[in-house]
Amino acid sequence: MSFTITEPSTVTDAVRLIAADDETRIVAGGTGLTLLLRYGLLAPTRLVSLRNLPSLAGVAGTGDGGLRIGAATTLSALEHSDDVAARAPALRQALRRLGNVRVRNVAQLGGAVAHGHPQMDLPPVLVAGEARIEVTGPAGTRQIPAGELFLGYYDTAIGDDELVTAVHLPPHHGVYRKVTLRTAEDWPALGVAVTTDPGDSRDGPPATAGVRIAVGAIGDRPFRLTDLEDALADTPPTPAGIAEAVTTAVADLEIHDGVDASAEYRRHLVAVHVRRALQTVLLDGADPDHGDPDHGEPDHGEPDDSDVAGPDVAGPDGGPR
Amino acid sequence: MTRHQVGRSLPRLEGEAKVTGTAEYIHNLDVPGQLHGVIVRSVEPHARLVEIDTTAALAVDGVRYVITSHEVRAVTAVDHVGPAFADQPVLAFDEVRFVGEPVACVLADDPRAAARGAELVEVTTEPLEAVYDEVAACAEDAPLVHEHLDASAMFADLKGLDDREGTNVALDYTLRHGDAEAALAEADHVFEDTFRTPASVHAAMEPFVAIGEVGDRGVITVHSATQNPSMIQVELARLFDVPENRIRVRTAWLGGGFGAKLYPKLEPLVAACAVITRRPVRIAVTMDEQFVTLTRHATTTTLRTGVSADGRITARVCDVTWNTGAYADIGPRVAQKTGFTAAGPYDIEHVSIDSRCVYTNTPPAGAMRGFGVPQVSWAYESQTDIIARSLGIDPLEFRDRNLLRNGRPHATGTAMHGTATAEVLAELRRAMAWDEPLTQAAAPLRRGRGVAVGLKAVITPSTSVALVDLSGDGSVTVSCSTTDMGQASATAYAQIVAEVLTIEAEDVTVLHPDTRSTPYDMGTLGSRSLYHMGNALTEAAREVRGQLLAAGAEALGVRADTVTLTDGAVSAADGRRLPFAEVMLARFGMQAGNLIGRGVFTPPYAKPEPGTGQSPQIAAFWMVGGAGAEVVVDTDTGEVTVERLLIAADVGTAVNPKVVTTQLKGAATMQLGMTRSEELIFADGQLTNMGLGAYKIPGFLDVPGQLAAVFVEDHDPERDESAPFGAKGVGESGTFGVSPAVANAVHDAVGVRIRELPLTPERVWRAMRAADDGGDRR
Repeated sequence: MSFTITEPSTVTDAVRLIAADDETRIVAGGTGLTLLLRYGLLAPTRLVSLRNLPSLAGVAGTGDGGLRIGAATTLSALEHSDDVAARAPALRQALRRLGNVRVRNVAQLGGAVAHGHPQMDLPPVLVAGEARIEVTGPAGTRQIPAGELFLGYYDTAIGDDELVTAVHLPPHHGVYRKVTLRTAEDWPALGVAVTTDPGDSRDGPPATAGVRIAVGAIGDRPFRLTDLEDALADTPPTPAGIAEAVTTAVADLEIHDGVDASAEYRRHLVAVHVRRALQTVLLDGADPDHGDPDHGEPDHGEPDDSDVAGPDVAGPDGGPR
Repeated sequence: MTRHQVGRSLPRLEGEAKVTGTAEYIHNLDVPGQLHGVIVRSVEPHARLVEIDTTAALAVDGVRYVITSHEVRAVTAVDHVGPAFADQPVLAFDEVRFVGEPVACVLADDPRAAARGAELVEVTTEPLEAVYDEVAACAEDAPLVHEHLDASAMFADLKGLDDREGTNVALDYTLRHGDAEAALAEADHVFEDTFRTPASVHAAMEPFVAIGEVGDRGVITVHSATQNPSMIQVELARLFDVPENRIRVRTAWLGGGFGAKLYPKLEPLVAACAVITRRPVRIAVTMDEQFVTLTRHATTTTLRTGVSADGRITARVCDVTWNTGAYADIGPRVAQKTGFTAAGPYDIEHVSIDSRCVYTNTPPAGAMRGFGVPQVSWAYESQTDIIARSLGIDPLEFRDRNLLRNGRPHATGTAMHGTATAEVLAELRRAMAWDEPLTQAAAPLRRGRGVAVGLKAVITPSTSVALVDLSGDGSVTVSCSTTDMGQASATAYAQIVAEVLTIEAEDVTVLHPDTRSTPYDMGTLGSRSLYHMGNALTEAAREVRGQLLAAGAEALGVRADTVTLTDGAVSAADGRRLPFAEVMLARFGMQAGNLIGRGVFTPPYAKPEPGTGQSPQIAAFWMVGGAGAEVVVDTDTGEVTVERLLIAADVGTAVNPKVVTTQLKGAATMQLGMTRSEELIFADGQLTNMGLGAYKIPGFLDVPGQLAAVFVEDHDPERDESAPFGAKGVGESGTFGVSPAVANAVHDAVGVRIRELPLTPERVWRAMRAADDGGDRR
């Protein structure tokens, strides 16, 4: 493996460099790319680093109550952003259990979008949140709806000569449920994002019409459960009504065996966790940061609101592993 | 009054060096002029080697050599290494027997060139039939992993085994105590259950690394991250047919070992490459390669247990099959030494054990923290709960009723003594508040709790030799070949020697093993070091104390039996004191000389009767480790949260209570990973989850919210006499009870019994669903 690293200082230069040839890859935080390099799955001749593009980082509120997030914003900065907490609670919830703190401190939003691996936490949140991904290429800037961005395994609608520059996320209420089956910091075996427009819940629980449901990590890309969304529009917001609609919708999903679970079990997990997410949003009121009323999720030692890791671990000189 | 050193919660002496990144590891060592080796590995599970074409690899810029068995066999005296059976070639010849087996080694100026070269070595093979499962490998018509089996080179007690042909069974261990079959036939209740554990891996932070070089007079030096430098020295001397004094093996701190870094691993290969090339050769394998170097045995265990109407276990028949992979490594010892504990910590009149070590076409399995006890305790402590619940007896009460207590004979015929089984169980009862009802969780969650107790015999016999050296200025250095791989042996040894010499542990230096200067030790394994080397060190330190008293008395002009050692000085009855430095000054006339004490320890042992395994003295001491778990099960999904994990262990004397606690918690956390997520998954002999991306070990967020260790310091005069300050090893005890305690707690919560590890959410969910369909919720 041998490559040069270039650190352009303008987006224009960056785009020019990545458009130059097929052997160039973009490196942002590097948490995904370095794994691909290590296992020889990529052999680029040039890496274009975004470290000299501070203008690409930052979170800003938008007029519609949503967010414009620069692609070079670290996941850790997002996780601790008050704007994200207020305007995009499902995103914040996903960030708190994404990878681990070392990953979040360096990984960037743009990379998390462009990586295109199916087992990631943010894609279903962006899909359910109806985010628009802003990309810049030689022909200028365009926006791709998140629902059209993820095409398959390491495959996205972002052109080879395009750079993710920002994510536009409308405001939402909602939740993200992460399921891991091996360890707490594992990749998701399932991610469920359920969102509604904030206006829908101004006076009590939101209407079942207008709820958006996306699942990730279960196929080669995140997808909306549109049949379920439609069915819910005509369903009374009761536990039984929600459960029945979920059971019907999930039965029709195409689900395959995964490395950590059989297709049958994955389908069951989708049903349970979509139902729980819907109940949280539609019945309990979604406010995940102030006591998740959903008692269903096992506590994997997730930090509480003080962001201090809870477990009484082995002690300062606990044996290395 | 001198402060006691034994019993101090002293922070480990190397802690600051480790935290600041200055501690010495072989991984950080480079030797001038070294070549870097990358191993070419078999991609076939079983095949005949036809040809190895090195042309393209040698054409890579920077590649200097491609070493195959042809070159290795030209410089070695024997073709195979291995502690139990000499069965493993340094590089494969004739056949390859598992995916990942070393076939060739590319040596280059830098590791990248070596890696590129390794990709270009072309290995032509003809596939042979392979077998992967330990039970399938025992079948009459199973493909043979080895055509012929050779007996042990290193261990006297394995030498007696006949050479064998036509079987994959490397070792058949049997124990017969009473007449178990007859007793089963007469029992009021008979329970039969089969339990399985998967292969798993040590995943030490520092993967295997070794550097070989040839020095003056042909002395071969190997710098290696090894747990037993002395045995590597012995094995390399045999491999090259040179005296042991022409082999030097040294090590430093280890970034974890857990049993993987025992016995020859990279050392024969780097030594052979150095002999062939006459240049230093360094091989540092990747984390992924660690997964095909050594694993923990997969096992299948069937227990048939007879119980009387009043809840007494009357007979137990144990059948344990250990999957040792393609090469035996120390597997036969695991099958034998842990096999004899397979009936558990119970007082059972009639016991029969068959424990067999079986070859398969998978990576070799060997020692790992617990040395097989976590596998057999998974079986016996799961079944103990099955029996208790089936008879309507409280599981802890049932254990108490059947526990093997001091004075009673173990299944091996050895009478138990100094073994705190009852105290450990009592501690679990107390610390778990077992007699208080458990607060149930709200639906869909269910809470449950369980306990389990395991028993381990320390590997016996084995030898430790130590030197304690007092310098002209009175400072003390300890020479021994114990490897400190994170268990804080160096700190504990400093405490023991300091206690005897009435000085501060911080003032003692403990050397890293180097067979050129530190004396023999069997190895850092099986929780033996504190006891065995501790005894040798105590003897050595006492010898130095005797010399100090004699020299001090002479300098003070009094009789030797009138002086004492206090606060690092020799004191006369009249109050005059001579610090050690002044004793040395008087003794040698200047700041010079050494006082050297020597200690040798080999515990008593009586070789078991062949066939029955009976012995009046089977082990130097026994370890008892109990675990209590409280879990919450999500009845919708089968997801299990371990809310609380409590370890109770018999530690003899806690030489360093802080380290004892962290050892027990660390071991428990490691075993919790084996319980919940760790499993090597093979498809046609190919490991499909190699590396830490696909094989998940616990992180801090997987540590139970409440993790605690309590220890029993039980003092038995007979044992205290034979142990250094009454201490026992504690590195493994935290593993014994964890898996069955969690499974028993899951059963308590939702009424389903998991018989195969790991205890995954899907397995629990499937068991619950089967139970709902009218299946077994026993």
